Amino acid sequence: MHEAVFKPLPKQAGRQGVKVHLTARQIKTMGWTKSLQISWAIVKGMFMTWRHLFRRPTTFNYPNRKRAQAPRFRGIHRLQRHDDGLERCVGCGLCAVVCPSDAIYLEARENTPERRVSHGERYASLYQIDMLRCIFCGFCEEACPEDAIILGADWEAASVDRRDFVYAKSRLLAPLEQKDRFRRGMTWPDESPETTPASTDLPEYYQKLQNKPA
Amino acid sequence: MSQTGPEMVTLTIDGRQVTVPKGTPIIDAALQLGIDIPHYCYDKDLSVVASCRLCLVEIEKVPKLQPSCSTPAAEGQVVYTRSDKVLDARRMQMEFLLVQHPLDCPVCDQGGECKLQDYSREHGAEDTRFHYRRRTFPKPDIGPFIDLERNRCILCSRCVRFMDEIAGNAELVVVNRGWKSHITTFQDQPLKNEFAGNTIDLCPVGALTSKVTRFRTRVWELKSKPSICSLCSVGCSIDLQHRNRTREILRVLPRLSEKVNYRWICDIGRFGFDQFNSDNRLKKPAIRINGDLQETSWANALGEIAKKLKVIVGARGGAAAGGIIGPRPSNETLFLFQQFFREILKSNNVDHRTEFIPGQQDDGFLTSIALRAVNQPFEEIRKASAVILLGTDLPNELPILHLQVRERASAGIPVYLAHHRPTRLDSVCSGVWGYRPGFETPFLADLLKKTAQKMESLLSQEMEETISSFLPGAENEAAGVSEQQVNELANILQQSNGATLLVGESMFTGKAGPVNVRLAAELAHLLSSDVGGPPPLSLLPLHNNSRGAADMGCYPHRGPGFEPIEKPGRNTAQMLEGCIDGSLQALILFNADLLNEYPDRDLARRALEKVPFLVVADAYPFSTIPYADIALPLSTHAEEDGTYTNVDGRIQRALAAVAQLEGALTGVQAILALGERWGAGWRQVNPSRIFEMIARAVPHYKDASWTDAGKGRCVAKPVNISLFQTSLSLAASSLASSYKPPLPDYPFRLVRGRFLFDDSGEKRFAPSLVSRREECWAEMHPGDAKKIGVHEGVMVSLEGVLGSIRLPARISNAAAPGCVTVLGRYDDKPVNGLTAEDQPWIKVQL
Repeated sequence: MHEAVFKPLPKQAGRQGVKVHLTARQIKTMGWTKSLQISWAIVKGMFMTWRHLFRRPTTFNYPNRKRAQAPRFRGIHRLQRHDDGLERCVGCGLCAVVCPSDAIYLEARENTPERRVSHGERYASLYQIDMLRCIFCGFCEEACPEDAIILGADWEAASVDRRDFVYAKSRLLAPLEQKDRFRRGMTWPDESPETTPASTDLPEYYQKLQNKPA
Repeated sequence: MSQTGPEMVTLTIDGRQVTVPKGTPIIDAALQLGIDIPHYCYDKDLSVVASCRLCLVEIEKVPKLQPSCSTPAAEGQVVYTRSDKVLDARRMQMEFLLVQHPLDCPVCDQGGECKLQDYSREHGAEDTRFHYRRRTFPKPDIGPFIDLERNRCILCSRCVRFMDEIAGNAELVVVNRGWKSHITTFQDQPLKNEFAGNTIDLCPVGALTSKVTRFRTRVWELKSKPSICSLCSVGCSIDLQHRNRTREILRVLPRLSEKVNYRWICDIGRFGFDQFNSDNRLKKPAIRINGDLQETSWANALGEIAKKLKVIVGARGGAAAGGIIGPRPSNETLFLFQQFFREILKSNNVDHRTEFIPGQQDDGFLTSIALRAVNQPFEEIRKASAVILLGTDLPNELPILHLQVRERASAGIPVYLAHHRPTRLDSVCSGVWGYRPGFETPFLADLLKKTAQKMESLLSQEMEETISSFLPGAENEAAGVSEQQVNELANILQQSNGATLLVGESMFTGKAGPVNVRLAAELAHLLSSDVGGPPPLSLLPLHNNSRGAADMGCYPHRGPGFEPIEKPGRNTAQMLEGCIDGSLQALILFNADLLNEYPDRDLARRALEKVPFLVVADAYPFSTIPYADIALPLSTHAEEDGTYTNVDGRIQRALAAVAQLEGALTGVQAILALGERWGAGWRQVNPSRIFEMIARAVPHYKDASWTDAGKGRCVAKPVNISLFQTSLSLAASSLASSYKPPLPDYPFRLVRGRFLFDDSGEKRFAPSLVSRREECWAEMHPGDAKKIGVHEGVMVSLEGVLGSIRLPARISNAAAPGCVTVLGRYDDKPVNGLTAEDQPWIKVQL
């Protein structure tokens, strides 16, 4: 069998470069080559400084300008809607169970003919995400059988009150006018026609929403 | 089973040998080897239909695959459960089953514990090849408990077979043929059977789900705690499941208990869990200040109780204080309650009998103990050669016992039933006899006499005299049982050696209870195969912990373990009378809904109004709360650790499933806190320590331990009957004097009985049970109805001396002539407020 051989670690390289913090006595006793070295180092440094003065800055004027995002950036969650405006979420709870930081809490209720919220028999009556717990791993998005929850493009979640970080459905749900917007690089899954209710029997709930967009 | 044991066969399954009794299906033999053959329609407690075709296995020398559930194991068989041929068949069969399945797992409550999900993951194909419109059915409404979604059904027919073979009502059926076949209820009526909920557990897919739990949780979010059902004396083993991170109980499942409920529970226990989530609870102690109940702290309330009780006991002695505890709390609470009265207040005024007025000190149940009755109905019916039920309506009283009796009947054991009205059990009985309500004693006396004559055995002189005192000639006719019928029953009894007698509430409670029990025990002795042994007689008390309350000594004249007390205190009736005449100054009601339970509501109401100091401790706001001077909030059954003794004498432990409601204490904590406050040196300890005290104080609980009780292995030992030295005089004369003829203006006898889906106790705090409850009605004989011109469904008013109520009439031959039967207890229909207990006479008016 192969025997393990332990080699001593190589010694850490000492600090390289020129020592510039010198006492008056050291400068007096310093040779001319040494002083030339120091002067050259200062010139080199100043050159770098001046060069950056004329470059484009790395930072930018944040509230007025924002950085471009990667196409699959994982930002704040959004609960999506169907084309007809109904919520995609059916409250199955798979996002909550897959969440590694236990950040999602939801309660479900049954759709009634008078108040239809989603396509299936059930909808999420309460849906909360604790953004301080969330690690934006995207497992919820992956687990969702209805493509209802996605990690969207928004990322500005600052607040001075911790309570503000528990996002309720009112903050997560996509606005009605954005119902068909989806993330770049992804397409809607095929939907069989019989699972989508005809637009003629759109429920009163949705009609109300249409008249008064949130 | 023959003496030599069953014939055994040895077969090879997947290369391993197993020996099983002949006739065992291959699927069970494989399970013994740890090989789980997938199956839908097969269930070991139901008949075999082999319709799902998922359990196909390959057997050597058999050309086609065989269903392993319907193929019996045979000698030398070589079976393959995972050969290519079998796996291929499974995959194809899964594809067929999923052809019409809606695949709505995200909205299906079965998701997570669904056999379709499991097996299609294990054995199914990746995708479906069926790209056509799926078959859909309209959604029916089959009652408030169960949701039927036919689109998900795979027609395994487990539910149909369960209802037909075990529950005894074939209410679910498969209708139509071919691809139109589906499950429906008979004539589209809602399901009525009280065991229908078990079909939810049996359904391998999401076709039958619970409407009560519907969409309130997903199964993987549930945490389970072993508990004991608190709604009747059977004490079924259940799992209370609550949602993780909340204190909301969302599901009740049966827990396997071979000796009690097996794997079934009734719908009351299964769907009644919302009582524990009820918001309608007592949440803070309340104290009466200037006529109003005002919220206060526990320290304040307990201090006030201690102060008031000290004044009363100091001035007039312990006898001025009394306590009534219902038969529902745990053994520990019951023990501490009587200990508080006996040790601290030096008072023997303790009783748990809230539902009847005992005629003498030793009531019917104590008499049965004195007579060494076995009192183990479950054990008894399992080994008896015949079951004789006297005065009990099992389907409405103890549903699980009803199921077991039904099972014995279908196994060929003859069941005989005598009751004052027809019951749902009648159809499986080998013989049914009806007597007139109120004439239990003459009926039993006559039966005993005739049976003794037939068997040519001599009764004691005392017994002969007593029997004849109950049979003054015409009385027999009045009992509504003809001479011929009694003879017939006596003939049957004479032949049924090794029979066991189960005596119901209507016979052993009340004033005539001890006499009836004595007569029944004598009858049991005659029938017993074990001469000189204990009579095979079991009484069927109805409440969660009726047996425990008796064992813990919640009697005015007997302490823990039935130890006689030298100076007996007052029983419930005497305490209430004491409240009215002023000799009782303080009353503590603990888990006792006295106004609804006590047979004489008027007396109870006057007593509660009159008593100077009334403490009411309960979890729910029962109707006694408005009379309280101090009200204490207690925890519910689901929040408390404790042991309960069931009708079989089995000591079983229930674990607290959820955290206590803030502000409420368990019964044990509350009494200990009161003792602490009193300065008696009591301090808070765990219920397990109280149970150790019980095991020391109660001789027949000596071997019981807290751990064993948790495993359901503890059974109370037989009681030492030398404690019962009082002569068992039959008190015939006192009974005869208590018989009162009808009052002139009140020609009808009011008969009360139990009804499963009523409003009693905690049931009214569970919205699901309230939605299932059936309205109260007054049942009358057609002859009587004709006389006063009452038709079916007409509202009639029942008037007694003390009050009247209005109920819809139901005309039925089930009612005896001259009687009006009202089943169930309803908060808004106080049937116990019509008459005094010993004069149940009413008149009926349109």
